[in-house]
Amino acid sequence: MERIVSSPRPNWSAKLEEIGLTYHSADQEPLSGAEGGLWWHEGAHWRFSSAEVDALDDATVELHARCLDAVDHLVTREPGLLREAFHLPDWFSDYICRSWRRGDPALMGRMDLAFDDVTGAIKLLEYNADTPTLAIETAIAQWVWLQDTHSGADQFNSLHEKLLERFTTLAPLLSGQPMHFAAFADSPEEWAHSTYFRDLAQQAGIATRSIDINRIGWRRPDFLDEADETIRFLHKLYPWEWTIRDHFGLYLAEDGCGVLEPPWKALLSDKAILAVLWRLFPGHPNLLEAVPGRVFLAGGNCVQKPCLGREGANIALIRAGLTMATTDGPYAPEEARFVTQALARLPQRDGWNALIGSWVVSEAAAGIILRESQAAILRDTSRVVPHLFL
Amino acid sequence: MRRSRSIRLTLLAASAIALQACGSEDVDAADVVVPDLAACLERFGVAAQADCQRSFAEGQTRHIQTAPRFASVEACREATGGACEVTPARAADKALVAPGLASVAIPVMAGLMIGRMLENGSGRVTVPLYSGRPPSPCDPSQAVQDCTTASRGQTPNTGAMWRYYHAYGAYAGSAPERRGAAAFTPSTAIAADIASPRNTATITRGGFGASARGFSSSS
Repeated sequence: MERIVSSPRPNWSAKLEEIGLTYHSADQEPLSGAEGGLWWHEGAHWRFSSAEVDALDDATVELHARCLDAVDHLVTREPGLLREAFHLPDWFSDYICRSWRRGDPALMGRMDLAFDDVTGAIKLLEYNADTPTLAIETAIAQWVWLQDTHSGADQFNSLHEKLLERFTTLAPLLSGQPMHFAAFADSPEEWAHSTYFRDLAQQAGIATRSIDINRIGWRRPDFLDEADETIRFLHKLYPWEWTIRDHFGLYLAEDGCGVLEPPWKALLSDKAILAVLWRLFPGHPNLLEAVPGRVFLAGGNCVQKPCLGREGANIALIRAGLTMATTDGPYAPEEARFVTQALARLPQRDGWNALIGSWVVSEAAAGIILRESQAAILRDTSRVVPHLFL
Repeated sequence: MRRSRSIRLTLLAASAIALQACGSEDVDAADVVVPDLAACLERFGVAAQADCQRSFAEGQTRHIQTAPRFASVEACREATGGACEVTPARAADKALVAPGLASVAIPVMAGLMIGRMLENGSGRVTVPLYSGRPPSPCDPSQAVQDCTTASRGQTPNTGAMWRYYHAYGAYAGSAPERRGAAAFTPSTAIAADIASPRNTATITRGGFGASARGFSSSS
C-alpha cells in the first residue's frame, strides 16, 4: 500500500455538502495542528493492490464469523462469563441471550484493522458493531471522489449497495410497519448518518420516520413517536451501554419493539470481546493477544483501553514496558473495565499512520475507509482519507 | 469491480442524486428521472410500455398518499414555489381543512424517479417528484421534520435549470403550518388510537439520551 499526495478537487467542500456531508471540516481549521486539519482530507489518498484488498476482504469475513462464534459461545455455553466479563445487569444479559437465540437480524458494523504491510498480517483492533459512523464518508464521499478523480481505478467499497440489499431483505420482516430512526438531532454527524440509513431503508420500500432520541415516548406497552404513533421497529444511533443505563432502557427488554442493531451486538462492541476471542481462538492470525484488565503483556508492547471507550479516548500505549502515549477522555471512571491488547503495527508513510475501517453488512465485507494520523493513537479528530486500488 | 455500481440519495443529499459508476451503463442498475410516460418509453424502450404505465400509476397513487398537503392552493404555492392542484380531503386532513370545504391542495407531480431493479428481482421503487424552488436547508434541530430534497435537471427543450423535489409525506416549505410532522401526516392508526381508552394513560418522554451527556454516540 502506498500513500499518495494529491490535489483536492477545487470544489471539494461544495461536493461534500451536496451529498449531505456538511461536517467535513468539523470545527477544525484547514492545514493546522498536528492532525493536519479537516475531518475529511483529500490532499492524500492510499493506494492498495488487488491482492491486499482480497486479504482485507477475507480477514473481515473471517473475523466476523469468529465474532459470531464468540457470541454464540457466551450465550449458549458460558453465560457466567457473559455476566462476569461484561458486567451486565441480569435483565440485559437475558435480553441479549433471547435476541441471539431467536436470531434478531443485524444490519452492519465496522472493524478497525491494523494492516502490517511488512509482514502482511491483518489484526483486529476493535469492532464497532453497534453504532458505527463513517458510513457516509465511505459509501458516498470517497465513491464520488473516485468518480471525480480516478474514474478508471477501482475501490473496495460496495457499502451503499450492500446496505440497500440488506434493508431490502429486512423489509418483508416489518409487515408494512414503519421503522423509526432515532439519533441526536443536534449532532450533525449522527443525524446525517441516521438520515442516510433512513434514506436507504426508504429506497428498499420500508416506511420510515425520524425522531430525536430524546423525544421517544413511553406508554406501556409501547414506545411512541412524537405523533404518538407506536414504534414497532427502532434503528438507534445510540449505544446499548447507554441505553441500558437510561430510564427507558429496561422497557426495551419487554420486547414490544424490534431494534437495530440488536441487543446481542452489545457484546461485540464491548472490547471485553477481544479477550474472549483470544481465549476461544488463541493464536488466530487475525487476532492480537488480549486479556482483561490493565496489565503488561509479555514483551511489554501493548495497549490498554477501556472496554466501553469510544473514538480513541482513555488509551495508554506501552512500548518495552514504558507508557509512550496516552489519550484523555471521559470513558475511564474508577469502575471502568479495561482490556489489554498486544501492540499492532500500523502502516506508516511520510509520518502518517493509517488505520483501516472495514465494513461488514450482514455477513459480507462491504469495503473500507482509512483514517490517518501523525500520532500513534488515532482519535475522533484523526482525518478521514479516501483510497483506491489498481 | 468492488465498488457500488450506482448510488442514489433521496433524503440525505441537498438534491436527490442518482449516480452511475463510470463504465456501467446497465439500464437495470440505474436510477432515472422521467418527467412523463414518453420519457419513460424513450429511456426503457417501447417494450417497457406496460412497466412504464404501471410505474406512473403507482407513482400517482403514492403521490396522492404522500404529497405534502396544504389548506389552500395559495398556501401550497407559497410553500413549494411550484404548481398545485386540489385533491379530496381525507379524515386525516381535518386539522387542515377549513370548515365546509372538502379538499386540500397538493403540489402537482412533475415526474418520477424510477429506481434501479432491486437485487432480489422484486421490481423498482418509484418516487414521485415535484418541481418548485429550493426548500430552505434542513435544520438538524428541527428533528421531526423529514427533510425534503431536490435535484437539478435540464429541461429538454429550453436547457434552463429547474429543480425536482420529492417529499415522503413532508415538505420543508416556509409555511408556518408545516412545522412538525405530527400536524401533517397523522396516520389512520393514530386516529384509531385517539379513540381508544388507552390514550388516557400518560405518555412519558425523555427516557432515552440521558447517559450521553458530554459523549459522542458515534464510534
